[in-house]
Amino acid sequence: MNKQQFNVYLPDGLIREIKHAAIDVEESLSQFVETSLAQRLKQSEGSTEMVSLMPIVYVTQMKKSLTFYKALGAQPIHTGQMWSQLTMGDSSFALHGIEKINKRSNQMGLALTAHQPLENIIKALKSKRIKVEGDIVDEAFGRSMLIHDPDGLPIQINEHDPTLYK
Amino acid sequence: MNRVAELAYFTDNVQAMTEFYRNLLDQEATHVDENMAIFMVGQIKLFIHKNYDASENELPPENHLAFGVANLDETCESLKQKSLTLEEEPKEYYWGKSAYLRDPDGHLIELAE
Repeated sequence: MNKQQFNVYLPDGLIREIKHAAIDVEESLSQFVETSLAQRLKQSEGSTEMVSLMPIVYVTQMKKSLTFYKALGAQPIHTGQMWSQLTMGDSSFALHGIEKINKRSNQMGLALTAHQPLENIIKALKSKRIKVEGDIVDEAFGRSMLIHDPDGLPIQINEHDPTLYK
Repeated sequence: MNRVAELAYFTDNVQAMTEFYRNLLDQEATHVDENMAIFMVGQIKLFIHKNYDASENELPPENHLAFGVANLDETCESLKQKSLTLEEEPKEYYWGKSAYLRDPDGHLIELAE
C-alpha cells in the first residue's frame, strides 16, 4: 500500500502520550496512528453499536401503570405524563404514554442509547439499508429518532446530553 | 435482586427479525435457529420467537416484558396482598419457573425466577 507523509498539528502533551503509547504496544508511530484513526473512522461511520437496551411499554393511563409497576418493585427515576423511566435492580425500562394501544404494532418497543451523534447512526443505518423515518427530535434528555423493525415495532434511538440528563 | 430480564417478541418472520436486529445492534445472536434468536444487550435479553397458535393450556404468544425475581413464590404472594391478580400462578416451564400477570393496559408481564 502506498503511504504518504501527513502533517497535522497536535498539542505537545498529546504527541508525547501517543509516542509512549506506541512504544508500549511495540508499534511504530505511523502504525499506531494509522490503527487508531482507522478504528475511529470505522466507529463513527459504519457502526451502530448501542450502549444499552431499554424496553418501552406503551401505556394509556400513566398514573395507573406507575402504580402497577411500582407494586412489582420498580423505582421511578423520572415520571411524566408522556414518559416515565423506572429502574429495577441495575436495569431500567420506560413507560411511554399514548392515547390508544394498537395491539399489532405499538404495545411494546425498545429504546437504544447511541454511543455517538445520531447523524452518524443515520449514516450507518442507511449503509445497512435500514429505513430511517422522520427527523431527529429534541427531547428533555437530549435528542432522539425513531425507526421500526420488520414487524413494525418501534425502536427509539436516543442520544443523551449529559448536561441535560444524568 | 429484581431486574429487567427480557423483552420477548413473537413474530411470523424470525429470519427477517433476526437479520434486522443483528444489523441494528451490530452484534451476532448468542443463539439462533429457525424458531428463535437471542441477543444479549448488556444484561437484557432480546428474545425473538416464532409465533404459534396457542392451545388452551399454552401461554399466549404475546410480546412481553420479563422481570427476574429472586424468589418467585414470595414475590407472587406479596403481589396478591397488593390485590394484583396473577394470570398464571408460578409454574415450572422448560426455561425455568415463571408466573404471569397483566398490566393496566393488558400487556402480559412475566415474572421469572
